[in-house]
Amino acid sequence: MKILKKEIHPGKKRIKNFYVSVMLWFVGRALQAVSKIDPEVRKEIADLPENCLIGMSVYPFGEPGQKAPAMFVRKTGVDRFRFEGRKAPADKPDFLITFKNIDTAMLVLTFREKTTEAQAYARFTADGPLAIACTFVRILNRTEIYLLPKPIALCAVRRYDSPKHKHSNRIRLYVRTVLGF
Amino acid sequence: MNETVYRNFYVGSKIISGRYALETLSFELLQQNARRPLCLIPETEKAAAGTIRKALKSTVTVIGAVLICGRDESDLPEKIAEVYREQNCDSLIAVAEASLMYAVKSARLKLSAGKTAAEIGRTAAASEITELPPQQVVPLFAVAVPSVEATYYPHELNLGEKRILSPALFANTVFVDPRITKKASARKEWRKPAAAALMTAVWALSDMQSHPAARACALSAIGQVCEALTARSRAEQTRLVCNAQIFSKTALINSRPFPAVELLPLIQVSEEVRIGILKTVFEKELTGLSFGYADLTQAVLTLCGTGSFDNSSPQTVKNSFTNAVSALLEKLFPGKPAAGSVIWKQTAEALPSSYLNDTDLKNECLAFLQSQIGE
Amino acid sequence: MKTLPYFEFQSKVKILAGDGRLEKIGEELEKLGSRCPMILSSRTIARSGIPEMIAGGYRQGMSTGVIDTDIPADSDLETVKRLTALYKEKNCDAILAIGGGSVIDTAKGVNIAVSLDCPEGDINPYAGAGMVKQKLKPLIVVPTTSGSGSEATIVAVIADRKQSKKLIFTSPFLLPDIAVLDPRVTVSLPPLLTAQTGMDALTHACEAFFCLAHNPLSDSFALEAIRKIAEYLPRAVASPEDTKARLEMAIASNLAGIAFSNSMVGMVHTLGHTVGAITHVPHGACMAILLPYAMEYNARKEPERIGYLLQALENEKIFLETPKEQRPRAAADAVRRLNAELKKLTGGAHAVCFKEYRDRDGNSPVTEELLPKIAYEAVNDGSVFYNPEELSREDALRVLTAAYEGTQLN
Repeated sequence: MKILKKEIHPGKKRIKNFYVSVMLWFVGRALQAVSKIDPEVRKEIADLPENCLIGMSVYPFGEPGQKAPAMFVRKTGVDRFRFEGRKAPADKPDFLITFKNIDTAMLVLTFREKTTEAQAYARFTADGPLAIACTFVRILNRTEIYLLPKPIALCAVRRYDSPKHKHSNRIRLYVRTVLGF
Repeated sequence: MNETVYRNFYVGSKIISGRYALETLSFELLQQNARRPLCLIPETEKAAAGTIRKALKSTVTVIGAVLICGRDESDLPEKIAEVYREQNCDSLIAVAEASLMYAVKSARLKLSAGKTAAEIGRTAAASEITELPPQQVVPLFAVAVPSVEATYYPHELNLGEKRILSPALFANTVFVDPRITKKASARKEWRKPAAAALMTAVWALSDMQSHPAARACALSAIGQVCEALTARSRAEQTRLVCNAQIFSKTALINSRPFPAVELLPLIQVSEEVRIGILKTVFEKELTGLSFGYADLTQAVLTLCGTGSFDNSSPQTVKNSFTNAVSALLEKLFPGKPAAGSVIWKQTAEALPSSYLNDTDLKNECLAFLQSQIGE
Repeated sequence: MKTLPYFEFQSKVKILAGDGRLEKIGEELEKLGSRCPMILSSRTIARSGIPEMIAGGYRQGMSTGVIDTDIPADSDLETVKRLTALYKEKNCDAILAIGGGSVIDTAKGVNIAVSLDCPEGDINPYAGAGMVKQKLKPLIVVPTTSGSGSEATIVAVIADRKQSKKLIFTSPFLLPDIAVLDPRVTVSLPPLLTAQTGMDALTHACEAFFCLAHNPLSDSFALEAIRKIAEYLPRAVASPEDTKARLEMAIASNLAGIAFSNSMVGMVHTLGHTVGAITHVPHGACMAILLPYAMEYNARKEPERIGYLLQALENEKIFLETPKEQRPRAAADAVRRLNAELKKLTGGAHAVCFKEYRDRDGNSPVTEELLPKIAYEAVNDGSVFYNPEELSREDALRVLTAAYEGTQLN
């Protein structure tokens, strides 16, 4: 028997962490923007509980002393989302999706694995009432159809329902997401 | 009264198999409240160490130490326990090569119950220790590699004369990751473990009283071997074979197969002989089973290029299935499977010298072998 | 049948199945190091003599600490707190749950409280995913309904009435140590309930097979369960005393439970949960009615898998003789035939469509006017994620309307 090495600290996958952080940031801002553009999305948000806080993160987010990509959005007013940033707000999220690790988050966010596949393979955990999850996923699907070109969006959604004014809304959504209003 | 009783059924480990399976390791560790594993790698599978380390990057898991373990080191369990305590570890990760797994299981007993398997064996009166006192056992995570024995999986430990059987020996989780299996030392010989899995599955099926879940596992195993034959990459092929081994072992440990078949692992005979024995027993025993897997038969026959079969009655389906598995063995070992009296003679000769304690079982097997030679 | 390139499977419950297994519980308790189990159950079960049968197998020095039968139909926090105090007072060292979903969930809740020393039995801090991180006290389960499959799941749902919310606990440590399937437990189940719980199990198995997260092991478990249900459910309904049929149904339900807890369920549950919540139609009845529609609805996305069910529902001969493209429809029709047979055997009580369904007082709780409301709320049920085909509110209404009328889905 031979001791090869002692005390191996986990280190970081910096590039992957950076990419996932940026993607989550983008998704958060896009959710805020889409709630201002799309009436269908607004209807969905109206069904969510008051002040509802929803988050997406990657493990080990939330462990003491650990940094990991995350993003939060909150329902404000009757039917809007507000992007709350990349750090956990003081209150506990009503619903939190956590990817089990950075590599599977990469697979999904680079569209190498379909969202439905990721779900079937239990790539993430969901903590909170599933009613919120269902609404949130429908909003996400709608947002993805706006943001992504059709062939890529087909990887993310089970059925491609083209919304009205898709192209003009797409441009508006991109402008609002990037500029953050 | 005609009572229906099935055997108990138990799957002790969680199985995670597929692309990026190892990346969930950190998550699974935390489910068991573990953050500081001791990593055990057999000399033959050194390449696995790097993959495991990479999989744990960007997590909260700190590896206490990585040990490279040689074959047949006598006091390996004690040494492992020592390093484990020295490095303040709280769990074990082991690459599942046969001899290492025995040592790891033994070390785990030492850490949980205070005694290694050998020490428990010395003090226990019975030849089979079926239950250990309940306790919190050190979490163990096994990383599967294809091997003929697949010892990482079951809840048993052979100590020469004695045998320990305990749920405490199951690994908490078994990971089957294609990156590990494709680099495993046995990768090029994947057909052997595949045939072994097939055999194990068939043995399990020969038990009429086993729980339906055990039969389901056996059939899943055969299905995975079939898939392996057409898999596109070596990584996928070896992963499917590992799955098949785990499934078939699960079926087997929950069954009590026909005694002559159960003997096979104890008898020192060549691989071809074992396959030959299997074929004959299979053909003899399977006729009593109720089967419902026409498509499996069809799949096997298609793979082996033997065409379709007649599905007019359950009996012909069964016969076709038997033939299909024979064809599958032929495919795995072209030109090798041999049957007939020579094999049975060899087996009968090997039997008296084997260390089988149960005399009834031995006699039953001898009688079976005699009848085979007589044919 | 191709399998997916990734799966996770766990089922660490030891299964004891067969006639006379209740008397083996004593032996298993001894192996688990317990001498004084707490029994949680319902009044009917306590009266039926099952606790006595179990006690008949006790080893020397072993005795039941306490039997509690006062468990509400929806497990709640107050009951957990009360039982935790009782457990400690009587110095129990294991829990034995004999009952359906609510009894089993309550037992899981009490087990968290007593094993992790929650002050006053308040298990709130352990609610959520993966919060329970260590082995709990021994828990043995004897399921009494042959349908729910909750003996095989890692989930417990417990209502906190004060805060009017549902606490969801998920952890691999919530799996019971042992599940005991003995036909004597289910013989007293009346035919209609047998039919409904049996169809519930069939739905678990079918959805486990064709929904998104299927895996090679759960596939085999599901097929085995379907085969058994197709053969033994009519038998168990026709002759309730048939212990062989009862045992096979208990096993089938357990196999289906293992299958679906590893591969999740889909739209039959999505719609069925909501129909149940709004109209109080029993879960099993909803499942029986909706299953063939879900098979037809998903046939475009998963034709091969749904068609394959025909092989287990009927037999190989019929399967191979049916042309490939007709198999999904034929499989759905096989379920319809099974429903029709059950209807005949229960004297018309088992409904095959919502229009036909009558509650105990002879009323029809599901009306055509309610369908849009059901469809609107249904899509917020978590099971919808695992359905192969997307299910929008319009789709849900279309399926519900067909299931109401009892016509085929186009």
